[in-house]
Amino acid sequence: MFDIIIIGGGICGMTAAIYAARANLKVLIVEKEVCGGLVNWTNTVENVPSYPSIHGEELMDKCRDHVESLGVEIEEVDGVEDVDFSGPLKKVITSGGAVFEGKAVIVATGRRPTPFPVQTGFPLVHYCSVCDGSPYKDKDVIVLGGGNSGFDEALYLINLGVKSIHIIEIFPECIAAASTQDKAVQSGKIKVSTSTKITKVETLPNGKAWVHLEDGANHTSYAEEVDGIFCFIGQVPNTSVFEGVLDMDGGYIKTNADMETNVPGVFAAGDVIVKKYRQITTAMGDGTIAALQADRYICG
Amino acid sequence: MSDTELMNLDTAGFKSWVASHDGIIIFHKKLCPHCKVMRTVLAKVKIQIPEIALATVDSEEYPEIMAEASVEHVPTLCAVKGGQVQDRQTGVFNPKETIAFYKKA
Ligand SMILES: Cc1cc2nc3c(=O)[nH]c(=O)nc-3n(C[C@H](O)[C@H](O)[C@H](O)COP(=O)(O)OP(=O)(O)OC[C@H]3O[C@@H](n4cnc5c(N)ncnc54)[C@H](O)[C@@H]3O)c2cc1C
Repeated sequence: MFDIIIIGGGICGMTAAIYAARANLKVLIVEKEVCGGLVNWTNTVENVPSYPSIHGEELMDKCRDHVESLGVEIEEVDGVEDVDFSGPLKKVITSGGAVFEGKAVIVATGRRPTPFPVQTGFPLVHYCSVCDGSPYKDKDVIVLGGGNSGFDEALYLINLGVKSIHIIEIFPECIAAASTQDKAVQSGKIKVSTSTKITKVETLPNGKAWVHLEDGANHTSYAEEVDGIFCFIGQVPNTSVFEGVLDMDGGYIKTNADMETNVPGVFAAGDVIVKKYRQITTAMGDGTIAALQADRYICG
Repeated sequence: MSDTELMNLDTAGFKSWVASHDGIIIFHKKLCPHCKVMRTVLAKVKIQIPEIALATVDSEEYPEIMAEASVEHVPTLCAVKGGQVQDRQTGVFNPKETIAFYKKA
């Protein structure tokens, strides 16, 4: 039995764990993948105080070491599949079949990439250029999404030696930082099409894709052949487990300023809650508040 | 089991490891989130099947082993049995799926 079960070991969950462990509470983190969450996917983090520039995974390894040094139990590659928050003891059931009980729960499940929006049997649709970029040296790819992630990942792919990248953005303008967009244009290898959407993707006999595009501004349709597709079109909250249990708005969990949900003893924090700014430091702030408030809830 | 407990193979080591072990080789690279997940999954597999041998190949350091093993993406798991790579699986899988992949190979 634990004092606090934290669901999700991203930066928010790990910060909550540090505060809870330092309050001498018995703490468990249950993490579907590995601790670090979305930050693991960020090549360069430049806005965490005390680190002018650091790779996200390196930052999260340091954070995980800190959490472990405080005696927090960590259950990784085992996601929470079901919960029972009806009684004073909260139950958390994992995909591996484990059932954990805690006096309080902090939900810090964050968000995940929005899936590619077009139904296709084409197998080479990717969400991680670090993992999947290397085979595209001297090849042509489409990057879907003109936000910061789309442009950052496109620049990363260019560094890997990708021959050409066509960034497709559905809105009339790309929202990526102007400096990043400039870098992309200067590379001479990145073409950007706005007001454009992918309508169909067919697999060709040579293993490449025939991608159908619709230019909404000029009311034209065309198609092009590419070797692979990378998709970076935003995030969706990881809240399906809590549907019907916790109050939500647009899939995000509703909390008050103390990170309390509608269920006493259940707190939520980080990217998964209804809020305006989703950053590492704001997730850390939320995790801090959730742990302190959970401690107060348990200790009365 | 930490990452450092997985045996890192070089070109010569790969050949002799395949010849002398039944187990799983993970082709991975540093600072790759999916690879990190799969290394943790393998640690769990090892708890459930202690006799399974595990090793890693760094895809950036040894691209020639990637080519030899017909591996393009990371993370890729190669199931090794009877001195040969019997099957490959690319992507993220949970411990149960990984054990099923190895047993079937
Ligand atoms: C491409 C990109 C770049 C970014 N760059 C920056 C940046 O430079 N600086 C910055 O400040 N912010 C950046 N952000 C935002 C920042 O990453 C997030 O605000 C932060 O990661 C939120 O932390 P979190 O812990 O709330 O959620 P997450 O990091 O999403 O962590 C949630 C964790 O919960 C786990 N989980 C989900 N469901 C379950 C389940 N059912 N059971 C168990 N575990 C589960 C997930 O696997 C994950 O590990 C970036 C975001 C993106 C997408």
